[in-house]
Amino acid sequence: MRQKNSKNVLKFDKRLAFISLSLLTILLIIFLTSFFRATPSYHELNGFTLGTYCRIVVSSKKNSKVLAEIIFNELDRVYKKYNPNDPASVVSRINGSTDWIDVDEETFVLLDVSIRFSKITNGAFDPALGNLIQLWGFDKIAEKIPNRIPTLDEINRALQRSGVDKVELDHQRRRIRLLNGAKLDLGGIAKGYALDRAYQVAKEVDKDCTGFVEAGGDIRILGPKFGSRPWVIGVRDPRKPDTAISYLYLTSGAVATSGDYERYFELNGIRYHHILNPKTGFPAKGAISVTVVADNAVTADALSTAGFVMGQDWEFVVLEFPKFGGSVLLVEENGTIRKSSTMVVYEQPK
Amino acid sequence: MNNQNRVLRKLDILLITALTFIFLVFYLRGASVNQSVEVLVEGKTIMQIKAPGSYELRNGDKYLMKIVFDGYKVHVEDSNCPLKICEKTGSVKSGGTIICVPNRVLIKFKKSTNAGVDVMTW
Repeated sequence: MRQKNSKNVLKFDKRLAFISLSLLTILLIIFLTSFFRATPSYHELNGFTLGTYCRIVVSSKKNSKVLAEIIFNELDRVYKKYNPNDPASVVSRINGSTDWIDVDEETFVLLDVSIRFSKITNGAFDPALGNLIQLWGFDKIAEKIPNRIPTLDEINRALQRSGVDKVELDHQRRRIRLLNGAKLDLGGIAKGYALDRAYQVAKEVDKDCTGFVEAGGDIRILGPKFGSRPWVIGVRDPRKPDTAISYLYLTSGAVATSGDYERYFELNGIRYHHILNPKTGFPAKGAISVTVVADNAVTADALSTAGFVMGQDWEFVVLEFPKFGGSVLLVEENGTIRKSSTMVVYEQPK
Repeated sequence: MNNQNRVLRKLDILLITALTFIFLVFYLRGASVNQSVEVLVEGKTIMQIKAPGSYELRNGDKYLMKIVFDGYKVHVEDSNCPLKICEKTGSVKSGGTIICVPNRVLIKFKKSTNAGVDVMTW
């Protein structure tokens, strides 16, 4: 009996040692594999351009730091080129002339795209509201917004000198002319364009780079997180900056948001924000925040602006915008959230 | 007899479970860091540091400083300001702050309300 018992104990010990060793070996392999796995490390660059704070998070096999700087320089180049407050910019040159102005191909394409977005959104997106924006005082980013509501007469006069119908493009000779003293302001699309350019230059340097570029809440995805996972994007609650009303999971594409909380002033309890309705000349009503997900940042940026302007007609925005390439999340003034049916695709963790 | 001939006994299963649990506790401990660092310039939040690493702080073209976060503590490795007080402050953990007066930079820990979020659209 004793012998049998000692044999059993020995047998048990051998088996136990074998099981324990096997298990520890498997766990050790898992641990070492994950420890030495070549997960990309991200370089982050933060700076101010495009009139806002920009964040570049990028991973490249070549040189993440250098690539981040290349991206930042490209954002800055686009900003300087199309900033209406910079006397040296292309937009200032166009705005300062009543005659035809020859423009480079990049500018011409951007203007052409702007006009196309204006057409498909029934004029809700308008790249020629410079005079109106100036009148309200929303044109100077670095200065305090004047706390004054323009008179109806002033607004009507500014409307007469504003609008996409006063922009003429000559496709044959690649030139532009502004009629009736109209002025361009590409604020509703330039940020998106800069982000798409950032994507292009990043991919020219390293087609396999991953990460994202953010400019004032508009985001262009460069590639999936760690090469395979989606980036988690919180959609800011328009009335609670620290909280998110939704989460989006993107491995590619872009997202842009237009809200009434970015640049505004309040008078007699009424908020007057910087997104103006081209038809009324007053800040747009109906929505307080519009987020658009699209394949590219230009589409996301232009449609988020247009969607905000069309806030009172939210059905059109959430139902029709997916046909233009944008999925919409719209927050009405009463806090009700309206979404395109296609938005659900981005709200599911992949 | 049947019990003895089994490849795995109850005791073995219990031991395997215990070992796996101990391993996972130690292995996943590193992933449970939920510290977040907020960087403010002139009162405005311009950077949220959530992952360990080295971060360059810029104000436009102007380089301000290099901030290093190890998941628990944060310190300024290099700064362009003449006083270097931020560098001399050394590493601070949750509850501590680093202030750079010439650059008007405040670095502080923040309890993340959006854990797991990489970036916000606004």
